[in-house]
Amino acid sequence: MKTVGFWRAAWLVARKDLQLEWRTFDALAASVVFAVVVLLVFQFAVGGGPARQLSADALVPGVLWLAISFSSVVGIARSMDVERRGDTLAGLFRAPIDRGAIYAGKLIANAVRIALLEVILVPLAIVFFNASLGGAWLELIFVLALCSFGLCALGTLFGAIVSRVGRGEALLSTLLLPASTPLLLAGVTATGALFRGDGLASVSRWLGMAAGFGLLYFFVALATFEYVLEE
Amino acid sequence: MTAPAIAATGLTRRFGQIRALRGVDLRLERGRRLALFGANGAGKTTLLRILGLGLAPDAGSLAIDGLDPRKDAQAARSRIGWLAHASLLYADLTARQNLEFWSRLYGVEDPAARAGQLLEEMQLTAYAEEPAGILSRGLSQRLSLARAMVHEPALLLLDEPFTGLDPYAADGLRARLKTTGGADTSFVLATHRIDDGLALSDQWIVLTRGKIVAAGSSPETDPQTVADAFFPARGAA
Repeated sequence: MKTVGFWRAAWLVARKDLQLEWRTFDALAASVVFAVVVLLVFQFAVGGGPARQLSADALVPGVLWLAISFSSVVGIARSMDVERRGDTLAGLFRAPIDRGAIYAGKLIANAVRIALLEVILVPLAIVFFNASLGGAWLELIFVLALCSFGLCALGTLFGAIVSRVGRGEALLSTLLLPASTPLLLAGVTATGALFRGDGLASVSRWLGMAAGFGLLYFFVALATFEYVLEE
Repeated sequence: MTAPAIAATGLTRRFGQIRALRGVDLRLERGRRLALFGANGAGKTTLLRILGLGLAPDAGSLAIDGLDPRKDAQAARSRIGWLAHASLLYADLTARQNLEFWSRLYGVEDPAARAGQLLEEMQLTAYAEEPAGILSRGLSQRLSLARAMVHEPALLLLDEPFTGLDPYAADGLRARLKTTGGADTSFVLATHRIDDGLALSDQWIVLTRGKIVAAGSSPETDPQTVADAFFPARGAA
């Protein structure tokens, strides 16, 4: 038998999660449906009322990050539910690998799911609200990646906690959404700047805050994940 | 000299006010098979969880296959296989994909070959491409046993493996357990089924309120002896 290193173990866990997703589309489908419904409801509400006076660049960032954050809760909860059914998280805990690699693997899989969700969601939001991003696609990808990383880092840890205590999405959203508020505020502000054509230099403090919180959440989760999984 | 599969002294564990284990000493040589009896709440599962390195004892020392889990946790975990009533299988992966995944995670050299070999040994080849979630409880438990054996553990921990099985499926699992592993594979079987425990083991112990209250050699033991230790009040009557 070979020793399985940290990143090899993380990759195996992530690949297994994505393999499960590919077979069922369970978490991704639930997230996408939820997010598209949020966009539709907002588009419908704005379409006929006084809110129509709001410009698209003022609306889209808020609606987009609202849809991303709530859909992430749905997706992360579903991905952890898969582990709860056969008590497989306990199986992973007993495997001869660094337990932080379980966290890293699940984080990678959740990040891929959220990235796929955003690939569908962003063009839809732009079309629904008739917004224009100019040429700032790369900057938007950077903002989405930065803030989504923090959201996944925290969501994966809280998802494991919720899974261990046998609770569902309600507890996950109660834990995750308040704690991720700094990331969501940074995401909304930076995305708004891009839709207004202001560029990222004007929101560098917000981006620094998002990076700081993301790294803080990641390292705290990596250090504490073993204790979360302990029986 | 080969290190024992289990060498434990003075294992204790509390959950709040409840003393689940109260100074358990246990030694199991390589290749020996131990039946662990006890009423509900006697401490069987707590002991198995500690031996399986899923739970740390409050006090006492433990070595698995000569390895101290506090110093060499990953190597110690690599010596252990686990079979419980929860399947530890991914319902949406096929039987083969499950075995290949766990083989890779345990660092098995050729995961595909090992998965194929275990499917054959457990007579599951016909179900290899079926999702684990659609298998009957009996087939699922056999697949779980295969999962526990992917890395050829020195020590197999079995927590009530017959729970929920019909008599035919229980027979199938019993037959697999008799032939599973090599001469060097030890196991600890926690069960309420005294006949099964004695038939499958070389030695037995009874836990009551977190302490070993009786022990013996299985081939020489009458089931009533275990039952009397198991339920002392009834034995006295």
